[in-house]
Amino acid sequence: MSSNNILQVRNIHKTYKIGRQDQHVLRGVDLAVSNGEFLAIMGSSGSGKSTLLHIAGLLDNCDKGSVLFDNKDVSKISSAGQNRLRNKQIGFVFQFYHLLPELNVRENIMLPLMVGSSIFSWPGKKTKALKLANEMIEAVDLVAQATQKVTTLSGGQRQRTALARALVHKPRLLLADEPTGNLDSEAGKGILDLLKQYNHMGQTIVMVTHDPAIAAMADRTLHLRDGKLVK
Amino acid sequence: MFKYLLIWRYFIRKKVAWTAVGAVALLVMLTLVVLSVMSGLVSETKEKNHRWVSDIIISRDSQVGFPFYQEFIDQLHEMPEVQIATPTIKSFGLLESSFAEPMPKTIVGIKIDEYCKATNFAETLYYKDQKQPNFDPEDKQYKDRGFIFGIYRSYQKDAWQYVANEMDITVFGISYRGVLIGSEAGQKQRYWYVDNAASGLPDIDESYVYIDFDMLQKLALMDGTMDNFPARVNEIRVKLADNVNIVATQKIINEKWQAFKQNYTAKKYALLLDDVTVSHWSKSRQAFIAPLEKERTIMVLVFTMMAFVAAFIIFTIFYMIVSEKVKDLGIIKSSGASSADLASVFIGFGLLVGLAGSVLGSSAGYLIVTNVNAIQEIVKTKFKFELWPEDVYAISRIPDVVDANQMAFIVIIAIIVSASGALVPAIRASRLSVVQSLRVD
Repeated sequence: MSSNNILQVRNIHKTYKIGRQDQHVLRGVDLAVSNGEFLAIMGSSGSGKSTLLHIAGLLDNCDKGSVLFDNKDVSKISSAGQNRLRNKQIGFVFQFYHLLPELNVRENIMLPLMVGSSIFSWPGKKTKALKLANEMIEAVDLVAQATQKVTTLSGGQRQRTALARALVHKPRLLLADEPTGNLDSEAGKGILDLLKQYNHMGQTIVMVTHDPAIAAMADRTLHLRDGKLVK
Repeated sequence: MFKYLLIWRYFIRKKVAWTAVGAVALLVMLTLVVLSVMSGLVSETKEKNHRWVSDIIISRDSQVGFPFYQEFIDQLHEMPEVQIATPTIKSFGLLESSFAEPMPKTIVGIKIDEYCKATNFAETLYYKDQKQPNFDPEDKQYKDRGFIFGIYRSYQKDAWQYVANEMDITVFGISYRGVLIGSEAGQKQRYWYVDNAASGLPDIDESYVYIDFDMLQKLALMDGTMDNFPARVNEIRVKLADNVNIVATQKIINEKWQAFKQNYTAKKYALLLDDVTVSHWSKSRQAFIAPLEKERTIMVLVFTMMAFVAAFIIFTIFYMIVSEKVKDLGIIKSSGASSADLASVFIGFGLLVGLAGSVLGSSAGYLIVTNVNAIQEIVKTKFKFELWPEDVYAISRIPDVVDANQMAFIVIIAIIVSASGALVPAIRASRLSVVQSLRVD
């Protein structure tokens, strides 16, 4: 494996218990993602794409195998260490946006920055955090909606808010799980354009999709079949 | 930082949380009102009993009484702890006038000057208080043969409607052996109404009539003239000097009494002296104080149960909120928050609910307690219903003081109850699997 890899997944196994039956979703998955790469992972519904993404993003544990971030095995580090890694180095975009309805657009975008600050360090970080959030608001074209409740936004605007939140802390890895799956084609195109734009700026992206047309936008596409990744 | 923002936003945006605030506020308000009033009643009742009894009472639970009281009083007066000791006689009697049927009463013989120093008797008198005596203090007839009529405080001003100016008092003589002596019809003598006394203690005020000690001793044939036995009394009231420990001094006086009675070993004396008890005021009035204390304890238990109910309401509300917030928790965790961060959001939310409820409840409770007499007056006028009847609770005014320590204690308990109610849902939130929570539709 190249030392340029930001993410490596080695021999990942994952089994779910559904009723009395075990479903072996991932059967020794190996994956390497280079810095600045835009990787699409395709697969049919229930093939384990999201599970792989969650394990790679340290949101879920695997039964066997390891996850390396910057060539360091992070699957065995403490939960505090994993939390720190998620907060500083990884961004997530989900199909259903998952915005916090109690916060407005700007506050939702600032969430990772706030999670990474204590009440004591926040006053010193707040100005920078607001600057970063406002930059992202401009980048995703939500200036007019910045102080609106997220419940008043359209689907596309919500996903752009979610994307801004995932990128506001300038993570080295963006994990996107069907980011256009809940959007109409126009809104979906807007999101994909943004992803492509950030990828051109050097953002590493791993995107899960079942749509070949969307996967075609990526630098490289892998298919998850029978619990294994194939080209 | 996000925790404080989320706690605040949950608090102001989640209307269901206001139900929990309302539950806590109601709990705090009711507890504060009831405990303030009950504690006030208990301490006022204790104070009244203490002041009425004096500090220590030496008594024999029989109308026969006990002899050699003056010798023991002399010994008591030698003690630096004792301010004054005064004898009293209590005798069953009848009070009758020409226009009313005889009323059974407890006739109490007192040395009024001493008795006023030993107890708060002077404060309970009406005309003395009005500085308009109903009799000429220089007139010996009134001085020796005047009677003071025990009465409920609310009737004190209009006592003339219930008491005749001249009334006959009949008491029955009992020998040291406990048999009736003197006339079978009792000894009757005319007395003049000079004042009334309202101690605020219903059992006292409804049945006591006070006359001069020497007169009653003669009338009850306890002055030693009839049965060739030393003069007897029923009680000695002892007022201690300021800042003297009552319980410790009661023990000393009891030891002194035990030694004193050894001087009179003849059987006829020993029979009477052996039954004499030395008690401090609260023990002698325990039968009247204990029910109120019990009532207060029951109230505390009732409100403890209510605290559990409030905790359950908060628990239910928080459980609902956590269930509704499962996806939010997933996304917060995916942004790098720890399980402890998530738990602290809900515990902090619980604390804020507790704090808000406590502030609202204690403010409302404070307003109610400090205006409880005005409220009682309105309820009494509009609905003809008395919240705390004077004849039951022996009060002319409902206690309307909020004890700051008690209020602080209630507020702290309410906040702890709220946080406890949030604890289980908070732990549940912290244990949620991110993946499962994000998959919930």
